[in-house]
Amino acid sequence: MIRLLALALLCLQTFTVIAGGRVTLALSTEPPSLNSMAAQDEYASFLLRHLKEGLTTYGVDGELAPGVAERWELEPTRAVFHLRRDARWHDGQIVTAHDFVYAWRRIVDPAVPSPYAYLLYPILNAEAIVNGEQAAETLGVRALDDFTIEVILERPCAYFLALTAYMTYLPVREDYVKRFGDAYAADADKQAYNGPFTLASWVHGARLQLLRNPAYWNKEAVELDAIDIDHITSDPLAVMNLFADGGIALANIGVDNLDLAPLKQFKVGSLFFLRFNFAPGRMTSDPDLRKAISLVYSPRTLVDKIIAIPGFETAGSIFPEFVSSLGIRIQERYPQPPVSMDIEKARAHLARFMQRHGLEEPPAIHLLTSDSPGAAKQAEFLQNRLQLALGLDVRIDKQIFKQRIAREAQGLFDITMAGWGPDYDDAMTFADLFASWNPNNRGGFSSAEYDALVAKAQTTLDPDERAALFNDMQILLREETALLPLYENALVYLQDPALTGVVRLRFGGDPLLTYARKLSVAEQARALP
Amino acid sequence: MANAADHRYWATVWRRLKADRKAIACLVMLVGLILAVVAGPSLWSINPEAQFLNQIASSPIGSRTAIVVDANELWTGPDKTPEAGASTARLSVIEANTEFVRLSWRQDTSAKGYQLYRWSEGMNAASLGMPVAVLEAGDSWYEDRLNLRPERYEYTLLAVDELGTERYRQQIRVTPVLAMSEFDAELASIAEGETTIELPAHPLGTDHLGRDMLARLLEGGQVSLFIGIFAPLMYMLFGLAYGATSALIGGRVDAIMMSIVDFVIALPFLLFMILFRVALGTEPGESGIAALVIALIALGWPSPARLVRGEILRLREMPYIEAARLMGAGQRYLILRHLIPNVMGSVLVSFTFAIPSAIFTEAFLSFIGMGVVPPAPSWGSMCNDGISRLLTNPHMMLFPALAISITVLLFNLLGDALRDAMAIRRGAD
Amino acid sequence: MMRYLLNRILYAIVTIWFVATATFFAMHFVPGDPLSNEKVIPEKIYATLQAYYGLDKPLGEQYLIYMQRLLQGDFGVSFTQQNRSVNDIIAEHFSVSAILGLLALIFALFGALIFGSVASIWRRRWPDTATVLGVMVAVSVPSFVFAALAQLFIVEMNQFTGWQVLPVAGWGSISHIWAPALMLGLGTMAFLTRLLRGSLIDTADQPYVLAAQARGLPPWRCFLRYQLRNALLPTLSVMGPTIAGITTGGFVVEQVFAIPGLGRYFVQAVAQLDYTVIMGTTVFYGAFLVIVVLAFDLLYAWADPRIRISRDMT
Repeated sequence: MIRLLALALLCLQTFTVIAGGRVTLALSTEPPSLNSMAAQDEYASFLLRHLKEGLTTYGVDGELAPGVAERWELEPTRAVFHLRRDARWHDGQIVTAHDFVYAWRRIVDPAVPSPYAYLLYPILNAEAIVNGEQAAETLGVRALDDFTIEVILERPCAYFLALTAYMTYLPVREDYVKRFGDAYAADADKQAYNGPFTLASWVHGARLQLLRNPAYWNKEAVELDAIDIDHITSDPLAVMNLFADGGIALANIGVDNLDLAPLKQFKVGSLFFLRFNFAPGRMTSDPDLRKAISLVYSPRTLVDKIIAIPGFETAGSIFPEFVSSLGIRIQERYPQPPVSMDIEKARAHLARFMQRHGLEEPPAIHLLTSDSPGAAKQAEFLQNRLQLALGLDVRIDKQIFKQRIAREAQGLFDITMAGWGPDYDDAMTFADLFASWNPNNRGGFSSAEYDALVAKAQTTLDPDERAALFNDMQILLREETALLPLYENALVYLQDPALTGVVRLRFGGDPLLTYARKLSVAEQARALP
Repeated sequence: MANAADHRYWATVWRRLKADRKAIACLVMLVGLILAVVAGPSLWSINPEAQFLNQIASSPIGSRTAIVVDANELWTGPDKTPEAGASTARLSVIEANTEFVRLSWRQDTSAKGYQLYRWSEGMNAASLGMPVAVLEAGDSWYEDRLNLRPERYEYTLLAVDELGTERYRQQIRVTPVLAMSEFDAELASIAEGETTIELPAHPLGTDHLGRDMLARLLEGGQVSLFIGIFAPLMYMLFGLAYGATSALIGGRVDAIMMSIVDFVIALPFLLFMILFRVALGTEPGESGIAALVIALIALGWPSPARLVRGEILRLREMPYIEAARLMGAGQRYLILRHLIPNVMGSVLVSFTFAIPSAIFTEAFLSFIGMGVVPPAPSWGSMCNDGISRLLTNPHMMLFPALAISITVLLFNLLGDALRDAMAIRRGAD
Repeated sequence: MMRYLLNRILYAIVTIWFVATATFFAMHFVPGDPLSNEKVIPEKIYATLQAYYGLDKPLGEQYLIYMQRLLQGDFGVSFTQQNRSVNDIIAEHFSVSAILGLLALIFALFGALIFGSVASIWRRRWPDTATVLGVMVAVSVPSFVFAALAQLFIVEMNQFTGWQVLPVAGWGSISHIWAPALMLGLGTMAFLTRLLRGSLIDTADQPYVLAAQARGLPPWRCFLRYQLRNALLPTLSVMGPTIAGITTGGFVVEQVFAIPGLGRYFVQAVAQLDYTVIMGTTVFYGAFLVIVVLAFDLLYAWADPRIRISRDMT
């Protein structure tokens, strides 16, 4: 659920062809692991969403729905989940409370490497166990009996229920882990499945096949017989050619092939923005320089002409359109339009900045960017803009994945192109990005006032008051020019009229095919405009 | 082989080469190509970095006039909404230029929402085109700003019911006027108050950022040709020195030096090119050219070293060298007078063939995104930019691919001719 | 001969050691941390991961451990494909590259045999001119251009005929292999055609061929038995590097056709800084290259005794 997005515009390239009750898909990258306790990428998230089921899952409208747990009681720091009696693993064994307790304890076990262990930190003692200060048994989770789980939380956590739908919280069969050791989940037959589908085969780097799971408790809801992932490719041309060739149904496409209508849109709503380096001594720690840049960086032109994908929206705030807090959409109540561009004002700010630092010429700025084609293009656009408007010498620093992370971590940038996908359905997932204590606040923005607002919002339960706090935050960030919001992304894809019931998810596992089905020819004829 | 120490040898080579009309044609074209690329910026004055944002990914076009419009603020709807019962066309165009197309329509109480599509030439004729926006029931206008071109569009407004089923549709055709926003005009230092702007011609079209392809090709040619010529030149020279040293010292040193050559040759070339390129890395603002050249030199030198050593060992056995030595010629004299000039022939030929392979290597690496860093263009990286648009804008891949192919072809033909002229080996006629 | 063989084998082993060492240090010179990710990993979790992969030890010790493992033929465990041994990964992806490479090689050899022979038989007439021209074009156009054009062609062909003549990309069935193998083999085919044509022309005026012709043997027998057989020898001498090149050089074609070969996997591993996969792939390819070249050298020596003698002397 917690994932920062790479700037790739084509994140999960998926498309389908339907024959009988089968869907053929392509993934852009093979999931590095299907071990729910170790996986951290969206590809594993997509597959595990179909292969396994947690306490909660997503329903036909993309809403949070009961999964293995049929009901639950939530208190501020305690939750009790009642498991359904008919949940089964694919080999017929009953899914019990112990399968969850085992998995969660193992994830926080410091002896087992689990990069996503921190997702369990809302649970009592999780962090202390990871740090080796307490034994794994002290984790705030226990099986009251085979079908009841009690969770004690470290502190109130408004979004804990949504976390239980995420892959890190999935149940794991202890006997499989014992039997396969390090090779657990490395192949199709090396783990147990309790989801709508089972993994029938996995030819690494080439193919995965998912078959309908006859042991799944809700198998009546599943109409597809199989999901065949026959292609693993991130090459946009290969994807487009495959698509054009099959006349097929579902393909995410980029700016380069928009002429291949008809298209569908899914507003993913991840926020992409420019992050400044606030470290002392960095030019960008000066508010006048940041202001000057904010008045000429032209996010609207970027979205309309450079990205040019319908559905992308310019962003004006740290909170994207869809983000809400306790039922109130922040942008609906407190809209924050993007800043108007103004060269004169920008140049005045720049002059003030140069005067303050005794500069004769506009400074050199290091713009860090990933190596995806989309990101490089945007960087070149921004470079050109800032050069023309302010005479800034923008130096693009294009780095491949791990090198870019290293440079971000070491603070070797003035501006970096960042993206952030929502972790959970609450404005806080964006708000605490700029809290001084957040390690993901890589630019080092630090404001006592802002920290206080975040802290207050964390404990406020009144919807109006909380929404107002979030508004104060977005205003503060704009005044400080703490970030430059660029855009909120969208997926543009083609979908065969014969395929229906695909659910698009914002919080892990997209696209959800569990409820997808093939329309009959007559139905298709009716659905066509 | 003739006694190459003789000046007549080179004269013969040159004479033979001159007689080969094909070779001369190649040579002339190559010199022309290099001159064009080097002198390019003064011949073709468009700045390769300039982004013509109102002409993105355009096929070759002539110069045009654009009007200047104020596009800074978003439109907030028409001054007066069409009357509910008006008999005028439902969907109408308020204003249309390439910065924005403003549409308005009469609201319809029966519609629970609208879908707006835009169709243009080249799209699937059966489709409504690209879905521009999904709108709500209360909307009666829309401003389209999405990558507009001065070509004919057909907008379709679908009114839909609760289930998203079409109730009816309205269509309108419009050709936006080529325009530039005031903000862009200001950035381009165009005097305030100008109402029109003359845009330059783009004989090879523009790329995905509206940059002139011809200017980019010339600049990219500097990068590709620099890497393609400089790196082989360096590793040839190094290989020459290394091989000659090894051959002349001989004995154990020779054996060790040649083992090193064997080791480096054993490194899988492309894998190590990638590894070295990444290990050398780039700093902000660096183009990555230095890293590519260093990696090429680090992996390229052993072949010429081996070649030169072999040639020298062979030459040393030649009777005329023996004779010179017996006559008391010094080592230095032998090297300068006899060995190096003789070896130069093979070195020159393999240099000519090393250039296309270096150009290819650069193109491969740039093609997989591990070559030069933007904004520096190279022919390989331009191909990489173009390949994803091969279906819609083939010119973006075609021209850089042609540039690479023609250059490599010319160098290959020249290499053949040179080899034949030197009669080093009998091969192609 | 025996001593020569032993020498060569010993040499090959030292060469592979050199490849491994060069990779190890070049790789650790690459900036970045293989365990880092978009999201900052808490310190303790990070320390656990580091210990798991042995990255907390000094570089020298890591090198020794790696060499020790390598001696046992163990490439270690992948950093990104958790729980998978690099040996498995290489076996899986290399088999793909090998099949593709082998078919490409077969295409190249057959093409070269046909075009080379045709060109030499009708020398200086239009088949020859066309071949020489084709060869020049084939060696001058980058393989990604051919690959992209081939894809376009397949799309058009499938649309035109209305059924799937060939799949556009992907891997898994025989029909997936043809187009990429042909595109991969094109450059090699051109190179071999040119070589074969040259040596066929050379052998055409050799005394034994002339003698055979004088004996009144049918021209095709003359050609096959005397001319072609001898002309193939130089081709054999370049087969080692050619095979190595075609199996390691396929990653551009693999990229365009979305084929899960080892080359494409290597490029991803470099971006991910997957130390063990990078090491494993280069060492494996290095060893493969050394062994193939050695094998063909020996084969060549066996086929042409003159070489054997001269080799022994140097």
